[in-house]
Amino acid sequence: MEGSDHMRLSREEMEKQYPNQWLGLKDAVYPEDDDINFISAEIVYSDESIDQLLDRQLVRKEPIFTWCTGCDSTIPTVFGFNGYAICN
Amino acid sequence: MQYVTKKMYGNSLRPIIELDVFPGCLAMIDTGAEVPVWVQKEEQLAALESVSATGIRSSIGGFGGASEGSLYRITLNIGQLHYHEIPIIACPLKNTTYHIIIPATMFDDMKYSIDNVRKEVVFEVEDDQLVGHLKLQGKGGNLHIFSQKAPHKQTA
Repeated sequence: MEGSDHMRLSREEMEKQYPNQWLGLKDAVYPEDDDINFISAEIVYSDESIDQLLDRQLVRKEPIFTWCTGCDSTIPTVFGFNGYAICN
Repeated sequence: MQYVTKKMYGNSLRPIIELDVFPGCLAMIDTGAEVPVWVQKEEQLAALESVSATGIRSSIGGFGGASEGSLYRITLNIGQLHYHEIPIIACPLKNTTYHIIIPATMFDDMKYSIDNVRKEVVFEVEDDQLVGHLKLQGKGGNLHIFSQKAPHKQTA
């Protein structure tokens, strides 16, 4: 869902107002020594899945990036890939 | 000696860093992995400018069992470390908060450390260090992915 105005919020404010969800953001401001953990950003989309947001960013080339509020510490994932390729 | 330092993502207990593939591209370093894996939708990987399809289907194994995915090639930088057209397998996983798994094989012959106090990953390379470069090679009808030495390249 696209917000009517692109409100700028800090990370902490996003976590409080949009807990445990993916956001589509733009125009992030970063600390001088950190290129990953932004201080604040404008919210473009909320209430959308990571699939929907990545389609917007990567397939439709919308100038956004995605961020999940508080998701990372709670979701189990699979580790330890190894692999080999087989010709068709 | 050069040190490439990458900040870790948020309060994650895992070593997740940002790559330059697209804004907000997050990669988890998996020391048990051998090949890079794209864990979001394959169509999204295919839409990236730094990615090319190979038309090869690949088997992939891991803690969650065996699976299969399409093999692509991707060019990316981790700070000053340059990886040109390395293999990456598209194998979507549900509920991941990152986009790519990067394996220990990408850091062959390199010292790297995960500083969970400062929340940084530090790669240590000599000025003329050769860094790992993943390569495909046919072997008895199969293609195998393994590390190959390649010149360390600095980017601006």
